[in-house]
Amino acid sequence: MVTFDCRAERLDGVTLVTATVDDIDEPTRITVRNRLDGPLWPPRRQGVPEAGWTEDGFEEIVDPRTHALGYATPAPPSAQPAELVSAEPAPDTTPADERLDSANAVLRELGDPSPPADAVPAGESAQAGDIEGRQSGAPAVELTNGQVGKNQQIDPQRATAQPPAEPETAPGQRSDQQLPDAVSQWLETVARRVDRAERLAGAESLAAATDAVRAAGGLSGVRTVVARGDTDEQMLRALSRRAERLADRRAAATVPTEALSRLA
Amino acid sequence: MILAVTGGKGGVGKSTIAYNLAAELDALERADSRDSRSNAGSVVVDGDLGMADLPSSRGPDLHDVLAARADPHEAVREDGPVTLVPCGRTLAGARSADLQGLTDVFAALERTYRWVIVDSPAGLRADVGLPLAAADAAMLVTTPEGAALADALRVRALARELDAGLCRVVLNRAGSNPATEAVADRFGAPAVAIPENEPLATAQANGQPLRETAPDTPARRSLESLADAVYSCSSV
Repeated sequence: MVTFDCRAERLDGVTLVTATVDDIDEPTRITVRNRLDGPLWPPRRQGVPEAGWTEDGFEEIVDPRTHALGYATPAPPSAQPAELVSAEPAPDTTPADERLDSANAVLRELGDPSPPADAVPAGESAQAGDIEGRQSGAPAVELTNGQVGKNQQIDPQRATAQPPAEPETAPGQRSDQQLPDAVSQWLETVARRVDRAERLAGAESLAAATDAVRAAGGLSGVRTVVARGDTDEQMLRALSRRAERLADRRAAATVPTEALSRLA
Repeated sequence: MILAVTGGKGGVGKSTIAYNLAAELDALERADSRDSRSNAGSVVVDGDLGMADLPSSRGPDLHDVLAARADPHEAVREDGPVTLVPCGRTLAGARSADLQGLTDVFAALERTYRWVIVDSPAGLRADVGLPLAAADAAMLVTTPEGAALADALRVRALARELDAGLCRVVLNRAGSNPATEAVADRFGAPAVAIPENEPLATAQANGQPLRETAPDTPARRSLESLADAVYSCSSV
């Protein structure tokens, strides 16, 4: 008969829950559930939760020995912080910690080689902010503000005062030269999707349709084109409206350089 | 088929082999028109998220795909001599990339391309392990130096752990009398020697496969035999 014991301890505003599962005679699938009223923070290795942990607790096949489980939660402790929901014998399966069959298991064992945050140069963090902004669905235009100040290429007066050539820009891409990198990259990505949509829409023969589907990356690619169509259109229109307003505001604001320099 | 080109040590020629292998496989497939398949041709994925080295151009890359900013097919470049998924060069990009998505990227590409060749980075971290875990077969690249062979053996052990069958061992920059038999014996897979070859390095530096710049060299013939090996095991 599988036995279960647990307790909770409050430390610096965090509750640490410790549980032991004992008297296991054969490989057994055990399910343990968190009973405290808060999110469960599972143990992690290399940033990846250990095998078997879910949002609610732990479920995994374990081999015959004493098992210790521990997790943290911001919820206040109670006398019975966790419970053993079930313990079913699973004789013919390999315990989880001996398998290396999922992306999570590989990441846990070998480690994520991403560079640490401190190693990312400050100049690149603008791009990282850009990434987060775009992921959260913020309007794309919002993101260009920081870039405009940095690149100083939108303001035509300054553009003439400075050498306009941007060494990284390849020749033959003049239309992009005035735009910050992040903006032109995004526009290029959308332009590809628009190209694909046009090809798919314009295909009149079987051969043309086959070509267009292949160019779009198969049916899954076609679905992507369709799924992103509305969002792309809305974002492009939002960009155009906002860019227009900003340009008007900038045009209306004349900076009295001479007066300011006299004051200074 | 997903093929991981890997090797442990940096600078042994993994990218060069991956790139040329793709060109040779494309040519083999063109010559062998019997096949009619839903997926065709090859694509090389630059899997070195931190230090990419295959040719790149403007547009979305593997960093963008792994940060969910682009679909895998949007990152494919079909305009060069070899179809490529390049990888970004920035540390910020490497940091924002979520490695857990890598397996899905390979699977998505495999629906369109017959061979997804993953040019793996050096080392033994998850960016080497995940392609091996997803791969149908692995190709190990090493030079004859002791340090490179030792690293390749470590990757061999990892490949075994992750159930990636070893298709060939490439003994790159081999001398006039390469120890292919001893290497094959030690690694448990046939070894193919590629002689030290100036045109191969020049071709790679210019983003050209050797079959287009120096088709009648011993190195080119070795690359062709590698492609034959991959072709025959993926046709079964």
